[in-house]
Amino acid sequence: MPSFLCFRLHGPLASWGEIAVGERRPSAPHPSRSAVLGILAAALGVRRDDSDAWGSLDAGIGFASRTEAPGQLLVDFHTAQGPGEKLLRADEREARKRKAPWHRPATRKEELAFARADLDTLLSSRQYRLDALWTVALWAKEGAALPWSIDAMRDALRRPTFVPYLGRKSCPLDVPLEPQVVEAPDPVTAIASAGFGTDELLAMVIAGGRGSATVQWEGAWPGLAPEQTVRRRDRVLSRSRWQFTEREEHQKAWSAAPEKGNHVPEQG
Amino acid sequence: MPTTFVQLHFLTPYAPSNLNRDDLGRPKTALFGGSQRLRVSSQSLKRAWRTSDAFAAELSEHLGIRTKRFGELVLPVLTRGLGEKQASKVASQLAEVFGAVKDSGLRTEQLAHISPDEKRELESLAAKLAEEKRAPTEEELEGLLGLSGGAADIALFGRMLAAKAKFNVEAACQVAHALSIHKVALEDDYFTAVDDLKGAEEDAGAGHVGTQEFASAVLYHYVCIDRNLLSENFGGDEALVTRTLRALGEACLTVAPNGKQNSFAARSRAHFALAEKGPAQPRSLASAFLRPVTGDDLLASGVAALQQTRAQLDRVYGDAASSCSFDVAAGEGTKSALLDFLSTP
Repeated sequence: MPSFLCFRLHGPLASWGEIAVGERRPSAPHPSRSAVLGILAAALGVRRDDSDAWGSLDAGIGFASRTEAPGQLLVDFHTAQGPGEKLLRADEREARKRKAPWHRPATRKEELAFARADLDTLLSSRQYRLDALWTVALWAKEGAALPWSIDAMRDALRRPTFVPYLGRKSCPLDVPLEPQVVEAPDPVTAIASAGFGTDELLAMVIAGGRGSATVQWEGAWPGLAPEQTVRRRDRVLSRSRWQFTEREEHQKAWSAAPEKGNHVPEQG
Repeated sequence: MPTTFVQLHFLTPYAPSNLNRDDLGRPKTALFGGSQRLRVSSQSLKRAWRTSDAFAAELSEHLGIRTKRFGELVLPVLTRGLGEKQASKVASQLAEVFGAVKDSGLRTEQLAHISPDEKRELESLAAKLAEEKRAPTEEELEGLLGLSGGAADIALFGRMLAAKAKFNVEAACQVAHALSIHKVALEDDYFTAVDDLKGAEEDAGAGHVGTQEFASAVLYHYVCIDRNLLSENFGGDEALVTRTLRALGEACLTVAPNGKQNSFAARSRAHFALAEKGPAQPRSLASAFLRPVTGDDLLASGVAALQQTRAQLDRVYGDAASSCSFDVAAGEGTKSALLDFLSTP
């Protein structure tokens, strides 16, 4: 039976970015493949510009998630103050005329040193999910050439190189990921048989989502019939250039008395 | 080398205020554990901290240096490789990048502000030219400007310029949105403003009426710093890492967001703070407040809930981080001990 790396995602706020151009920054109701691979990559110490490592992660890893509690939507009105490009170019021309030195503002303090009336305010509207909880499963696809074993990936999530977060850096986790390796016939069964020590702490959140769970997965699995299939633009094409491409995601509602499967006992 | 995560948790009580408001002017809120909480956004907190005097006082020169003496800075190194005459010509060329040069050719007419990385780049280019016994190319001269490294605020909070990716810096510091540890209902302040030149004989009405919303709260804050990445952003300058962590800690514990402070004066300091250091996966302790804190002493109950959740998590997962804390009400610990702990490796 294949092995799945399962872990849990919870924090007060989470944001799973979707196509966003301009000032609207929407969040999907459940994690994007790119965000979850980002958590794993961060744990493994893979940098945004390491395109080889990103290529093998994107090609070699499968992704599924279960929304235990969809939570609520929050729209945050976000302002950022700073000099616009127009102001910077005018400032540079002015400096050249006076034969004075010029460079782009290097610090926040320098950015705000322009006359207040000249500064621009950038507006954006950012969506977050509140009171939500997800369990995810990752697996090595058949024939994948991954430089890390599944156990190494689990250990990295316990002691990550870079900090994991829920889609935005301002969205920290508030419970451990509890990464665990589970053997199961398919990712949905794997998620159902993972056990978490934070159940009691998160009892309120879990109760809040009762009856509304959905599962999402990719690839074809015997015994898993999707209720619908959607296209999501969350496959990483280039991390450093922030480019993504489409994939197919299968979805269905989920409710079951959890069956305890072949849960590999935790170590250390 | 495993990453050292430095985590700072703190509780700050705010009197009625409107520290961070949305597009309607209302204090920002969020649902947490099924109930409404007051929220101060991550971006609001970061701005208040990095523009604060507390932050600048510790780090002023690490927000860049200001000098006219660019030629003098590189002349000794150039002279060793190039001979006196050519060295002073090249020194003058390098100085000119930073502004028009004066008589000697070694100083610029005006002070120029450069980041620590730009200074390093200037020195290494001078060393290279001395070794290769040649004048700089146009390209090399252009490459001297625009490096942000060594600037403490950028090293901590990062920078992303979509058009100029080479100036991007990955933030070493993660700041959560602060949430109240208890339920909050926003209150309305109905206010009137008097027109001083309008007599009662005209009419007795106010010159202006309006409402503004406000709330008071004990806020839970969480900040996590990747110490290794901070050091990397500073090019391995450990002394600067230590000072930056102290400056950030000082700002976190003593600086309140600026929103509507002239109307509310809700200047507060942290009453409880807990710092943790270790390699285990960082986690905030917000889950301690999923069940909203109730009762007469929100602060004391909040501290108890936070410590209880931390102990429970440590018991289940092991791998506990080393820690240091202070508690104003209990008379335990000091800010200075906490900053020492926070900033040492």
